[in-house]
Amino acid sequence: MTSLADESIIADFVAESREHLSTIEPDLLAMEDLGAKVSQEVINRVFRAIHSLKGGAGFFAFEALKKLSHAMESVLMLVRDGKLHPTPDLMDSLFTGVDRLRAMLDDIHASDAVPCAKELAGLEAILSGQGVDLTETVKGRAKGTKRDFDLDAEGVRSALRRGMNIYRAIAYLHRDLKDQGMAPLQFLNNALSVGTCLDAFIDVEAIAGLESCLEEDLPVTLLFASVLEPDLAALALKLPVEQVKALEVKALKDKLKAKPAKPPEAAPAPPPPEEAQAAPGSDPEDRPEDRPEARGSAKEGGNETLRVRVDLLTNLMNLAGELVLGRNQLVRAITEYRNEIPGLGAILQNVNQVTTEMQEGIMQTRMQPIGTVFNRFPRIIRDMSRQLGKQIEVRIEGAEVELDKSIVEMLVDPLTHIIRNCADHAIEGPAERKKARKNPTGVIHLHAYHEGGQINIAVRDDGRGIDSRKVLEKAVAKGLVTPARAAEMTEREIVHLVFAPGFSTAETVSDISGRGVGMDVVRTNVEKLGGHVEMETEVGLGTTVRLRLPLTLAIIPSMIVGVADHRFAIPQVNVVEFVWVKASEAAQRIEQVQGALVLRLRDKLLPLVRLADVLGIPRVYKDPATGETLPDRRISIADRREAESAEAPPREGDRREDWRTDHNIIVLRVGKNQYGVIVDELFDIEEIVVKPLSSFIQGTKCFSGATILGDGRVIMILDAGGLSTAALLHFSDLQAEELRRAEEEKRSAALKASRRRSVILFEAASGERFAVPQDHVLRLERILRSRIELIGEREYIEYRGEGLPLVRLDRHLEVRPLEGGLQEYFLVIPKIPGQDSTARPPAGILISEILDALDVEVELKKVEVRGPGLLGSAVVQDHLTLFLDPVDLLRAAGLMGGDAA
Amino acid sequence: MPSTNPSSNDPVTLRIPSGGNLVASTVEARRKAAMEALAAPCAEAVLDLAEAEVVDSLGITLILGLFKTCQQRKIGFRVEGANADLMRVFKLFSLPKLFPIVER
Repeated sequence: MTSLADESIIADFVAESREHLSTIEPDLLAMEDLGAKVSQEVINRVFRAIHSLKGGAGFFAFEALKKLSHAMESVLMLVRDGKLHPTPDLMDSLFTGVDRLRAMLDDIHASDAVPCAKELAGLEAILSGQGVDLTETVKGRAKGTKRDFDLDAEGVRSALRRGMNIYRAIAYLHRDLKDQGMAPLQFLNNALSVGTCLDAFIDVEAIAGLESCLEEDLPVTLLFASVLEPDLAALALKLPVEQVKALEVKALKDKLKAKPAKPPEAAPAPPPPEEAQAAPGSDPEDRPEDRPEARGSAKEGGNETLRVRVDLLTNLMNLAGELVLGRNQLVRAITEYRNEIPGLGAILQNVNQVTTEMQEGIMQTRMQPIGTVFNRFPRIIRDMSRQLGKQIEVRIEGAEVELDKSIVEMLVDPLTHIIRNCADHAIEGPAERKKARKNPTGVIHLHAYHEGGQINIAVRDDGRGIDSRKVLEKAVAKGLVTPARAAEMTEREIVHLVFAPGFSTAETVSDISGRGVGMDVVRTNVEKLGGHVEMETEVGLGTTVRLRLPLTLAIIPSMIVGVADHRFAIPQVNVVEFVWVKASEAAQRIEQVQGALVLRLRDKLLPLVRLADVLGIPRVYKDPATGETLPDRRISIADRREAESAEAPPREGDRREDWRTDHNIIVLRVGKNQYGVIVDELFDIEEIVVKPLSSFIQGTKCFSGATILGDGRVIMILDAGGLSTAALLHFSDLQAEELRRAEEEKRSAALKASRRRSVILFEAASGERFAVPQDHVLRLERILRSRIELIGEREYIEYRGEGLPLVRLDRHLEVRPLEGGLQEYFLVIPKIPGQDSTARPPAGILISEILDALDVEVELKKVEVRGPGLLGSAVVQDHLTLFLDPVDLLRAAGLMGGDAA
Repeated sequence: MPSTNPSSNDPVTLRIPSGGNLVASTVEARRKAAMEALAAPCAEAVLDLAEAEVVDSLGITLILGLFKTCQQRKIGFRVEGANADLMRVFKLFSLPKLFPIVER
């Protein structure tokens, strides 16, 4: 007999069982949260998962696994039937059961050695309370092992040749035949009317004997070939669709290859069946949907899922990488013949396109949703909450975001670390939260999202936040920073000290009310993945840890740059932009701040590093006069020497003016920071295949890997984060400098604004000029001298039906009086602050002529002239001009506040 | 009422007649009768289906129970007198791989 149940199928079973367990964890949590209110759908999902696991365990004779899962299934059945409610004790039993099942799956062949007596006892106690005897329900399930079809090679080949699907169909004698009023003969006729029965067997091991045989619902398992699709095949067989599973064609073919053809033979002898598969027992929903070999796709080319080994995908990925390299080399080698060979261009383009699509397709097969990691945290937090006496809710967003499998796997530890720290240190206990007027239930929010070609994973809590003062105290006490450096550090730098190696020890963390345990490991792991980790925190409100990660690690588009004779690749995901600074503009745009080069880029200061300097490569330049490559001995690009003469042409060979010494700057992004890398040359953007570094140079900060260029040259891939670290860039220094400059500019603008005034220029006596700020003037009126009336000592004019007092400047200031021979004058009617423009003005200032209304930028000087309302003097339009505050003048004249009459 | 009739020529063979169809309404009685018959020592048990035209799913379960009991007692078991339709069903369920079945 050829067995389908080999190691690879067991591995599939283990993988699927693990998936089942991780999938049901959120449902178990929901059961616990909702108690009796939980939906049947949720219970059924959990039930089916455990049931599947049990079926597979029985099939492969993993007894302990089968026993435990059976007990759990029995409990779940009672919950489903409403006979039990998901109480905390019951859920505890299920959770611990899941843990134990997981431990068994970790080493499936030693699963029987995993102790589970305690878990079983807990479940049995629950069941016995309901009058269910677990041992009774498993009675008759003799030690079974594999039972499989006798493959009729020719029959299977013939069916496949005719385009048939091969199914494993299970029919239960009681519920599928007797209960449906269907005789076995009728079932047989049904089956043969739509396909061919290639083999069948009945699980006789499940029968105890005559004593109780009629109570057993025996499954008949058919190997059935039909052209019908699975759902139609099930319909034709009158079986539930989940009992009709398509078999993987490739697996069958493989088995047939391994099976020598043999003539069909009768089997008259009654040999005892090798071993039986798990019996269905008394469970009416006992379905063999978990038979591992029955889970493949329906047929080749179908749109159903197909389980593929990871090592196969990895191998495909590597081959795709080699193909990309080969494509690059091919394109480079024959591009020059493009014009000579007709059609070559189109062929190259096609090869290029197909290679790219294939590589993308293969990469896609390795993508996994981040939810596979996220979904384990609610359970972890549930257990921690209980241990810590806290109430914590986990919210998940973006679980469907996909990442390369290798990245997903490597994220498990860092994320677990962060989440555990959230629960342990960040989220306060209910009493403390209530005291802080927070909801007693703390929230940990996991959020994955795409941004700028990268994946961001944010872990946000609403806990107590991190007290930067305490972090700094600890860091200084531990000698991680000097007191002098501590005094200069920004808040962000201080908070990021928790990522420093050596900072994180248990006693430190518990004292500083926040993160800390192993955060250096988190950072290291994330950076190993080519990612970055950042942290934002606010005391009392919470903390966010954000991981930025690449989508994949295998093939990445990169910019190829050159320094001297060397080439390097910079991952495009790190490249923000390319800046070309002309040699002649370098002096204006590149400067030094605290001894470091910076580029002034759109009003921001961008720190600069010279790649050659960081990597210890001797700098060279092309001599403008000879074109010769010479050593570059300049200390700084920021050469601020004046040109020899503004008018004189540049000196021949002056590199400050020669285009060949223009500066190529690539702006790189590292987390939230950016910096510029000065390189000699820029080449193309290429898809490079990342090759891991040899262990000898793995410690090098500046490189994340190596690759092979199209011309066969091996080059290093630069690590943007490592490069900035190696260059000792202090982004905070520049941020402080930017802040200082911004403050300075702000002050300067404010000062300038204070000097800038809109004024009305006028004369009183001829040649004596005055200015009043326009915003102090309500109106300017022309009046005839004949309209002026004198009442007592004061002059008036009729204005809008009322008498308006007039003020002559010479009566209050040491200036000359108006000329007497004029027939008309002008009035300056001041605007009184806080008074409506329709209100009656208190007075008007009599002047002889309005000269202009203009904006002036002046600094007022102290005036020698005495009198009220004088702001100062300045030269305007080449004339000394007195600046007046008209309201002050009127006040001095006693015309403010209703005293004008 | 089915009875156990040892073959006259071969005292170690226990012959168990079906006594009619093996269907839901009769299987329980047949089961009890078979159990009583098997109380007697024998080297082989033969289920005679000569009188059975129909065997339903419970009947098949009973036959398998009988086979299993014989197996447990380490005695031989075979079926005789099955009609053509029954043979088709038995073959579909691969019963001939478990024990010999002789067609009517």
